[in-house]
Amino acid sequence: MNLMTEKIAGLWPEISLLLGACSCIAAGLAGTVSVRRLAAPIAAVALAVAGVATLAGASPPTSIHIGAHGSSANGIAAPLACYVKIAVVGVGLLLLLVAAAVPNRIRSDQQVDNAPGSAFDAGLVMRGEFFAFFLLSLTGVMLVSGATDLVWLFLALELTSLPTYVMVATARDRVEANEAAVKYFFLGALAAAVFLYGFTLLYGATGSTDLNVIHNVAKHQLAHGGLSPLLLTGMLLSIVGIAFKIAAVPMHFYAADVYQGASTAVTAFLAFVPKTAGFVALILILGITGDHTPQPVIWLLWAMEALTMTIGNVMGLLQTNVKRVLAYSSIAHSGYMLLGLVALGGHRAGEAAVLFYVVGYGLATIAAFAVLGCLETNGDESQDYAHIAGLAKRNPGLAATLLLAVLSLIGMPPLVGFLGKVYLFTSAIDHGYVCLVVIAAINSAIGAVYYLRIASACYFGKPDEATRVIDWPSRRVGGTAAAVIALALGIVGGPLVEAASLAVDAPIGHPTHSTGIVLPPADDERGEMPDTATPQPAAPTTAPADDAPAATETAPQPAPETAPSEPAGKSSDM
Amino acid sequence: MIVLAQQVASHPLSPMQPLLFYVFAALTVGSAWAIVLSQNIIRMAVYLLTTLAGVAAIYFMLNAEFLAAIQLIVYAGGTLILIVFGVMLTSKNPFMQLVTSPLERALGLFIAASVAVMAMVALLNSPVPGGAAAPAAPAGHDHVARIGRALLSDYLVPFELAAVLLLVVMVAAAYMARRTQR
Repeated sequence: MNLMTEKIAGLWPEISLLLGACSCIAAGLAGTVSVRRLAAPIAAVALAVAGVATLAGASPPTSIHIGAHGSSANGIAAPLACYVKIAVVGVGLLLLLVAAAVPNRIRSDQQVDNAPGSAFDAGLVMRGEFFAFFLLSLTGVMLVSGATDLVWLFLALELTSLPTYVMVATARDRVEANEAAVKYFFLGALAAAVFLYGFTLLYGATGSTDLNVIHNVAKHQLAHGGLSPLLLTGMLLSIVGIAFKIAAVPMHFYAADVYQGASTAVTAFLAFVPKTAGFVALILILGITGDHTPQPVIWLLWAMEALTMTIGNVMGLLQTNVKRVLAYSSIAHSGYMLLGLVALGGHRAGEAAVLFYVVGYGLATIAAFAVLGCLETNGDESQDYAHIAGLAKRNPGLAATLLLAVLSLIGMPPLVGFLGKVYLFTSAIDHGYVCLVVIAAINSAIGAVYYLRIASACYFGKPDEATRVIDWPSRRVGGTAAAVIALALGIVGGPLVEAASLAVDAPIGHPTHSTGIVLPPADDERGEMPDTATPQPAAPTTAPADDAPAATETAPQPAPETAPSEPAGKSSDM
Repeated sequence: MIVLAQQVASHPLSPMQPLLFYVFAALTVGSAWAIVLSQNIIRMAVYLLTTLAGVAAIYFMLNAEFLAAIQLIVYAGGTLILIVFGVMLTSKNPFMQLVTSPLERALGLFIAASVAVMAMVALLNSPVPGGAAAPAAPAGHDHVARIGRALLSDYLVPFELAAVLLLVVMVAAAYMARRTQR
């Protein structure tokens, strides 16, 4: 049965972040400035420890194969959690570099810092809380990736979002920030209500909150006359509600205003963290039906995907505010990533592509926001095309970072954005969604217009007199590092791609996820790799043919990605 | 209300039960409607009280006494008072009218109706699943013990997670409500 220790065993990374968050709050209450300033280093240490704990807790990917427990709704969760935790730690450290200087700009913190003589008022400083919320939100993402239960999943999703509402409100001394936070909070609450309703219907339809049990009931229903409408409705509502986290179409309204109103570093945080949590949650929800994503769900995802891409890109084209442009770009990229989920039915390549893409998108968008955050116009953030004009003449380094970021967002070949798009598009084409891929390709072209507009403003525009470059070394390092990693992953993306496909394919046992429910071996269609390799003779003929032309630029990389994931998908398709 | 519900719970097979269920269901749904249609925030809070109490009564009828008590104590008792206090302390005029435009009403009605239709269709077409059809756990005092055991074993992580979530909310609330600087 479930012992407490067993439950806790896989959660050391989360515990480390949680302790880090508590230490940050404690440090933030100190009367001396130097101790308060320790909050950011403490957060960095906590992230590093979480990374080490994840690596230590992860079994070597290829050593253990437990056939019978294979890839169920939860079987995929163990390696998935590892991948997500590592990604969160890596990108989290970059985000921390970008955000480290934020509290120095908050007026109340400045006042307290600069008045060492006067009585210390802990209620005025927020440095400690800022980094605590930062870590707690990342804890939420990690917990989402390890969720085995609907209650757990719901709470983890909320833990991801709640701190971000406060970060939006407090990290910038502007009325817009408060307005953004209020909008974000209320719409977030609405979305939470929607997916919570979905979760209750899932519980009602299956009698359990355990994802594994729900998966088995769904499998049973599929084998005996189809899914119950209640379960289907639950899935649909959950997907629509979680769409808020990824800023996809029915729930995308907040993105532009919130991204614009929040402090730029927080905006970068919003672009990666809730999106990752949302996509992982969607993968878990879609895992309920395993290989047989029901047709209505596919229709819903199809429509969401097409609308999200199109609205994101077309609206992005109409903006003059760069932060709003990047907000719509965030919406559009969620659309591309939904492509991988549409292509998911019986096909793990789509999921792997999504997991890979979300990291690549995160890196590029963090770099872009970091550059934007280094600029200041009339004492406020620079947000317009006019403000970034001529950046290349003033600071070639920042301009180059921004250029790399937008090129990656466009999907230019040597960068990670290109690889990500290749995987997403090939996984969708393999699945026969040619029409969607055509829409996605047209949208990429539309998107390229506004990305190139950013780049051309930066390189060919006339410098704006009111704008100046702020000297924030940590932010600059964070942005540059993100851009360089985006470039490096584009050139040698093999390991990450492999990790992403292992995250959804390799059936590795993991202490956290042995919830006591043992799946009957016969039920599992997508067991371990050797099983599925046998009925797969048709796959190799089609798969390489699809990959080869698209991936000429980086020939060696697609192989590890498609090879492990392809057999699993095709076998269940046949 | 509590006394009434306890009487119901103690006679689970009474012929009154379907009737009472419909009474409480109508109370719940009716006051939920009233919340949405009302324009005065204090009235909304009062209607919310009857909605929450109606749900609590239905929990009693399902023999989930502990849940019903929690529902009354935490929601009807705690949360509702917090809402009223929050309104009184933060808004300059607690009797402010919240006016919605006809377009907003139409849009809201459309969305609500489509969700309701979808839920009804799904509910009416679904077989009652085995798991949910037998919620009648043995009545008596061991409800609380079972819930406690479940919270600290199967649901340990969600339980702790809820605690962390409350910590976040508390720190956030304290921070948001902090004294405004000069």
